[in-house]
Amino acid sequence: MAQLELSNFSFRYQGSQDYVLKDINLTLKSGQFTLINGLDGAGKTTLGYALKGIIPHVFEGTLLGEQRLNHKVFQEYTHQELTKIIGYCFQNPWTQLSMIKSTLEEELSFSCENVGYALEETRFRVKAIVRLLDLSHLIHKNPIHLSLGQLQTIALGTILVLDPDVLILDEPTSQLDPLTRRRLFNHLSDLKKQGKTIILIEHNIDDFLELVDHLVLLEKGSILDQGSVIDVYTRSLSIGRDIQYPSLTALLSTITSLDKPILNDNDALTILKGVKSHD
Amino acid sequence: MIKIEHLSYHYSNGEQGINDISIEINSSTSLAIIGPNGSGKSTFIKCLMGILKPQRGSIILNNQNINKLSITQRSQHIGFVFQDPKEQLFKSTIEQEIRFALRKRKDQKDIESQVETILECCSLTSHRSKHPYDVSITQQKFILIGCALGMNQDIIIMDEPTSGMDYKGIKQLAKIVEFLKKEKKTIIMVSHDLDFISEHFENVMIINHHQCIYQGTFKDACRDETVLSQGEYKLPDIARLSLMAKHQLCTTHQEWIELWKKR
Ligand SMILES: Nc1ncnc2c1ncn2[C@@H]1O[C@H](COP(=O)(O)OP(=O)(O)OP(=O)(O)O)[C@@H](O)[C@H]1O
Ligand SMILES: Nc1ncnc2c1ncn2[C@@H]1O[C@H](COP(=O)(O)OP(=O)(O)OP(=O)(O)O)[C@@H](O)[C@H]1O
Ligand SMILES: [Mg+2]
Ligand SMILES: [Mg+2]
Repeated sequence: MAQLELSNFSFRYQGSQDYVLKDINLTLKSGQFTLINGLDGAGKTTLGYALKGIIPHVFEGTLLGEQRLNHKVFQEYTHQELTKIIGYCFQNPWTQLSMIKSTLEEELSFSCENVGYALEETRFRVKAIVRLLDLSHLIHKNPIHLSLGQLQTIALGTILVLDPDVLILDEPTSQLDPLTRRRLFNHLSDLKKQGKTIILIEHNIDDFLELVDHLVLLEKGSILDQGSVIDVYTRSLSIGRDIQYPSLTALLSTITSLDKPILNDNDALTILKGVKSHD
Repeated sequence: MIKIEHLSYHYSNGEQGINDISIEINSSTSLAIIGPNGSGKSTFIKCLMGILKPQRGSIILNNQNINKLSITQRSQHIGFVFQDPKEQLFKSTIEQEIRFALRKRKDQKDIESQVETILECCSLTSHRSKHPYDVSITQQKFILIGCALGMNQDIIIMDEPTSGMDYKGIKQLAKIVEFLKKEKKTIIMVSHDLDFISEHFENVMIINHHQCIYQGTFKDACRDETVLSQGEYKLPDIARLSLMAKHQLCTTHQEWIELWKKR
């Protein structure tokens, strides 16, 4: 089980003028499901990198503040140790795959071997993930022969197969069809029950809100607000923040004024019953 | 009109891409293409673009079989936005990319103001001198959309333009789609985003297992529960709520607001 923490964390890429993350304070408790939302360029991916230790291990730049895993600063861990505990699914599926393997089955196995799983364990894990994501018709294919959605599913598979304690997913559903999204939802829901710490960066918020314990709104590198889904959107509605609202909330607010977010059909219908037709 | 007859394509490794797809797309209409991952949507689109040469079937554009036309020849009639924008970007700045598209315009008057208009409406003005690879994927898609606006073809085809876009990007795209509709363009778009389709697209084609399993108006697709559920698609929020609350089908915000005006 694992807790992640950023305190007074700021980061500027080498070559960029401004800080891309500014004074971030964030605690992601063990077993907590966190959703990070914000506009294009807000710094979501950079925040993901910071939580995974890709910053500063891979990307150089100026860093202030601390990153901690289970109360110990990242510097006390080797990169290999962090890799094993924290799984990261990249925004671009091509970044995820090694591309040195000629079939998807090998790609999935390679992912396991990389973190040191034994052959038997690897086989078992690959089999489970193939079943979970319904990949059996694809496993003997070469990654270069896939549709973009299939590629994204496989990229996701290479991380899920590791079953890490912390899972960071950077826009994993952008190319996925509704069925595959549903499968991912179900799996994340199971992982959450097992106590995994999950961080999801998404624009498709509606598909996952049900699972979210902690919502983080990022704006221009700073945390605009964080808290439970209800609290954050209630505050946002009350001060009329121009942000992405859950789709039912956005739809209902076109005909009536809301003081709390609407997240499901039942609540929506209750509100609609009370709507007086207007002219 | 684009008339597509018995179009089939299989990849060189024997993999089926699309199988026997026929559809007629009238000029100045909008068509959304939906279907599961790997069903053949991008393959279909790439056949229309001429990137892939279908082994069987024909594509007839304004009574001319365009199967034999090259990508460049087709691009006089059809503007494209790929699912992976990097495949399409090759200039060293965003502005050059837009200028290159405008170069092919017959009417070379007001080019300067057109460059500005396009950059502005694609929210790219402040990024104009950046390399196309140095901006986000959303912005890369807007570069391609900007190029298509610049080329001003009669038909524009987009493969999952909204995927990975934030809600502001989607709103921006919505404006452009509405503008293209006003200009009487034919718009073809692949997407999983039924809320976006519902609001802006008249017709829908569903591809499953490489074949067309439905074509018709989007409204009709919403009326028959069995249609959308074949791809595990759910009714868009607006349609679902209007049916549940008032037993009427709304697919656009305008209809939705009208619905609540009635007494
Ligand atoms: N390697 C890099 N070097 C310099 N600047 C970078 C680098 N990567 C990202 N940036 C800049 O940092 C800012 C935040 O980028 P980031 O990718 O974290 O945003 P994001 O919220 O993930 O956006 P998106 O929704 O497009 O994925 C942007 O202004 C971007 O241009
Ligand atoms: N370059 C290729 N070589 C061989 N097979 C391919 C190639 N590209 C795609 N395929 C296969 O052709 C079929 C159709 O792929 P296509 O890319 O058209 O799907 P799609 O409907 O666009 O899916 P997605 O929603 O994931 O983008 C899939 O089974 C895919 O694996
Ligand atoms: Mg990102
Ligand atoms: Mg595709």
